[in-house]
Amino acid sequence: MFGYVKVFKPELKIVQYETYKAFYCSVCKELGHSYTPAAQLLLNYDIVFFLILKDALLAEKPCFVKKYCSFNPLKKCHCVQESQLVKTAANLLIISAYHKLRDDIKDERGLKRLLQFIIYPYFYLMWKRAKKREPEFEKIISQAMKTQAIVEQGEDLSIDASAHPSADALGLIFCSGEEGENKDILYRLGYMVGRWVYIMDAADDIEKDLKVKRFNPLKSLYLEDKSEMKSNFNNKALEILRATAQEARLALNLLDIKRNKPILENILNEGFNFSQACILRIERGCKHEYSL
Amino acid sequence: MNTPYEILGISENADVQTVKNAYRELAGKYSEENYAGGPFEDLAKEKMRLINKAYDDIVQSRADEFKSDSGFTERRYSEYSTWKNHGNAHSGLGDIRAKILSGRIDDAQTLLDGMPPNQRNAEWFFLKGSIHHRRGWLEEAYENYARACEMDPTNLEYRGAFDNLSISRNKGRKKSTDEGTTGATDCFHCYDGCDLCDICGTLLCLDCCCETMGCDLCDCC
Repeated sequence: MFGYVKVFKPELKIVQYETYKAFYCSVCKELGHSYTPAAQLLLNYDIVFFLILKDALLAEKPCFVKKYCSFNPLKKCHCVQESQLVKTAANLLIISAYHKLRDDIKDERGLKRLLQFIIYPYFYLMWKRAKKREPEFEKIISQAMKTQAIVEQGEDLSIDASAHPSADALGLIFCSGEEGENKDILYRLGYMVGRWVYIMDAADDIEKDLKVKRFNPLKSLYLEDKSEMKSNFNNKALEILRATAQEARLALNLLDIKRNKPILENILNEGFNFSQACILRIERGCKHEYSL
Repeated sequence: MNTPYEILGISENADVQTVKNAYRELAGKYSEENYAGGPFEDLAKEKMRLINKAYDDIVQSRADEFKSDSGFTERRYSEYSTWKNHGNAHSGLGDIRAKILSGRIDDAQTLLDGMPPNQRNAEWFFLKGSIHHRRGWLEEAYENYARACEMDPTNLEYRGAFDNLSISRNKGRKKSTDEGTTGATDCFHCYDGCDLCDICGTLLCLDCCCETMGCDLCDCC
């Protein structure tokens, strides 16, 4: 995951924002606690979405405590008390970060690649620990990476087909451990979020990928558009993203959610729209991060 | 979820208007247009039935209040019929429809692909689109639905599924999703957490701290 899935802060209430941050901080704490403090740098917003969603399905309410922030010792922040779910999220983050690094090493060259080789052993050690704790996630993700690599070698690939392995993996991750009706809906939600992230990433990287002749599912769409501003391409990509986001929202509506629904809705509505706008509608190269 | 109020997500002493608003919002969410052709048609229908019942219960138990509320002409959202009801009227593809509805997507796809190209009518393309829709392959679903509509423009079933996808492609369905936030998005575009004042303030504080410790950060103050 790549940090596109996050809240749109201006539309949140303070209490919702604080809750969101508490979940964020608790993953951070957990990473420092069960891995190394350096692992805290890997933290991203996507994993917080996963955590809040999974938490919202549990009957038991999370317990909040105040702890000191490890990056700013003067500040106390709210955290969710240690729970299995937070641990799972942290492990999942490590596993996905490791696989992302492996994937990047294949693509990068030059100095960046050297750097990645240097940090690789650390990732490997953490990954080994995470793998032991969450064998199921490890299996899903490594399988998806393999299929993704095979799929991307195919000629003349549709967007749907190329997004499938990643989307499917996220679907499986979301619905693991659930049963009954919720399982199908969670799979659909995960599938659509995964698909959305995959297409966002493709749209974000399109220019870079074309330069180094790397695979990109939106390539033919991009080359079709001869105009300078690439407005046709932007509109088309936006259409695909919107349709995908809408399906994710529909799945979320059907879920039996116990709490924090406004936060999840904010992420899927305003958060997604904001990320889309940053990448496509507004001029390219605009910085889409804003600090929490 | 037990009481009608919990189902609508409101408190027991909510006033009439709140009840209506909550009902309207939920009914909009689970409405037929949203879920046509997708994998959760039945589930949405069930949810719709639940909230309709909850709303009816509340109206009944508080009949006086609801009557005295002026302009009480609540349109009750219907529990819609899914396409399986009119599926039987169609020709040879009934089997495949049944397979799709029972979730056996791969079987249905094999059967569909086995049909020779000259027998592929509007319904064929609709079913193909529906398979893709359920699988999450939205682009292919969209193209197949479009083709079905083109071949049989009068069919409401095909049209509904096509509109469902094309509306969400073109502007998203919820009003709050697009118009509501574009303004904020634009102004947030230039949001920056740290400006000149922040930097000066921080320097000043740092300097104060340093001076109490006996040294000096900037010697001008």
